[in-house]
Amino acid sequence: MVFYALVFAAGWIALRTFISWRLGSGSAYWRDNITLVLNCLFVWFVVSFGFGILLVEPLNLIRVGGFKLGFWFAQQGSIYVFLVLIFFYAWRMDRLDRKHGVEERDGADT
Amino acid sequence: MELKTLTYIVVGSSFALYVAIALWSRARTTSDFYVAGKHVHPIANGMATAADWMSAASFISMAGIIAFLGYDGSVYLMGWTGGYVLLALLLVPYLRKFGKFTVPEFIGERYYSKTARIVAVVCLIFISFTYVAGQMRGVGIVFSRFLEVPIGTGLLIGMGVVLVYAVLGGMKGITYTQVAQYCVLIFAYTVPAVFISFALTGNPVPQLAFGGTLGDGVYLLDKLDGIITDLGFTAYTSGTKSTVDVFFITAALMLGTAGLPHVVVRFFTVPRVKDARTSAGWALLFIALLYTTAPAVGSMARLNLTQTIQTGPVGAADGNLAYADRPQWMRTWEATGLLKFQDQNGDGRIQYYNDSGAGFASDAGTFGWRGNELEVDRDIIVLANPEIAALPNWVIALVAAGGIAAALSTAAGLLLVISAAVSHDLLKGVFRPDITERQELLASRLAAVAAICVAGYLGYNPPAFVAQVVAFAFGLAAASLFPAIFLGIFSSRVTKEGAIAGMLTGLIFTYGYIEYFKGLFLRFAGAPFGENTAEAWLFGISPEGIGALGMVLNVAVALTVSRLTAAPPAAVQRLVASIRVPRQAA
Repeated sequence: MVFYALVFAAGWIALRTFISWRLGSGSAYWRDNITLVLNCLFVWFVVSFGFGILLVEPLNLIRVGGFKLGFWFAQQGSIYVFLVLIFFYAWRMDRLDRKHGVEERDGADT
Repeated sequence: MELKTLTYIVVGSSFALYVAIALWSRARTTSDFYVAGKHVHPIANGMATAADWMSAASFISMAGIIAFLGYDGSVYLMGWTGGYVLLALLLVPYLRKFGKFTVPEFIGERYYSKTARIVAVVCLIFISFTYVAGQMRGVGIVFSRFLEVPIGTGLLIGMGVVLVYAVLGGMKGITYTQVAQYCVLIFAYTVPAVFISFALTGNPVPQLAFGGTLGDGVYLLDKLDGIITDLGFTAYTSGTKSTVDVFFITAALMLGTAGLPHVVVRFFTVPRVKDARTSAGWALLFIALLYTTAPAVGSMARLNLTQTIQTGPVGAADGNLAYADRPQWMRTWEATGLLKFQDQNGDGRIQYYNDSGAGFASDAGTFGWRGNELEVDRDIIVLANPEIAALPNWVIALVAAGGIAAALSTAAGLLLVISAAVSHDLLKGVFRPDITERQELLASRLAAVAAICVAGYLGYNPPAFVAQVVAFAFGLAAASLFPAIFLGIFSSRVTKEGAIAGMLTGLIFTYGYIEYFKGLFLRFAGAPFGENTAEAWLFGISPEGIGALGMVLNVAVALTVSRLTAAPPAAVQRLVASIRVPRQAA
């Protein structure tokens, strides 16, 4: 479990560094967007592939009510987190759009 | 009232509702027909997407699949919901900004190539027909079970209804009928689930009852793990698939979901980019209502079924249900062939256990058991649920209407993307760019009629590949369309040569792997060629999960070839820059 976590953390830091290096010269709006997307995808990956699959056995040793925690993430928890993630992303993107002055005007259809 | 009469009334009135909506929302322009004029409210679109997405398989089969797979069934739950995160974050806001009508159209313009557009159309047609044939089959099965008409007649009725609202209303008609169909199907799904949860655990909310305690104070899942391991099955909360395989299947289903054209195109119908983002959230909310209920239903049904048959201690002479005493619902479903009993040891009792595992099978021999005697089709879990829980007849009628709604809504969405691919991408886009809007609208209606006829035929006479929907449709979507759209948005450097090479690599690799292990179109030549076992699979990845690897190959090839070819023209670079922002800053 510690091994997986270390490998994943190292990969994650490498990816973030690479992407921020690539986007260094681009528009601020796009850089902020990509950072937000990557943070959300990090959570997306951890709850499903992490908690629900790779770490399911160690997590199953923890019990919450009638559920083994790993099993709960695989069949219930990951779905709830996905749902929160999408609405969170939409909310933060609205703020980003306004901050950078690229929000759509009412009734605009393009 | 008699069940059959009641079912006719409920199903008949749901059909009348769909047709009435279609008449009210006729399509007048190609924009109406392809993308509902882009006037759909994000919540309505979320509901329509949920109905579009949840097919006959989600409604009828999923709870049953999970009931018999236990933890391994999680791949479907995570895979078919996690894809919406990818859709919302990586695809739909940008495609909505692009603002045209179809997925191949985006690929054609982004990769400045008619060839790329045609490759995308080919992928789309394969994916959609595989998928739609399964839906039509589902319509036929529900009709034949609940209304006792032959499968062919059921299919014709279903085709007729889809024909009316898809051809008249196009995307506009489909959207509003899907909203109605979602309401029917979710109500039909939740009512029996609530009753069963309450009866077993005293908690009416299935998602909570799933982790609740039974009458004797034992947790439901612990009880279930206990009684099925006593019968030689794997514990419900652990799986038999390898971690690698679970990982890849989940990834392939997520990526495939995000690449399915009939889902992607739904987000072209909302007014603004910001609506596309929230609409994906609403869609997942409406889907999650069913997807979080399904595993609860699955576990409870497995417990009910096992306890009904194993009435006493395992191995006791009178520990199993006597065949003569079986409940009425078993008799009903035996008549349909979905439930089969064969008294292997001639003791007049039903033994239901795992006779393929090495350990328990020998114990079973010492009890005088001569093999598993009950075959249960997974579809029974949802269809027979109301009868097992002894719910009133109107609930059973509702489940029939719900199953048909789930199948019809998905079929209509698929037929629409097929007809749009033919009339808009092939006819208007490639072969006859000079046709007028009126002619294109007529062509799209004719294409929809033709697609319905083909789908009906495939549903009546299903070819071998239809059974491989999960591997084939999702694998191809994950390995071909998803990476092409994704790279088109997030890289302005990917060239037409790169994209086409990538799509073809993903397509051929994934198709070849599935053909090799499962057999699709080359059955006449001796496919499947390899034995479908974990030892033979590449890196231990089953055909269901290979699409994820196909996606990686696609991206690798696309990026490499793009480096070696001339950068895309300036106009395409500008297109990429413009779809990345909702509105150009002043």
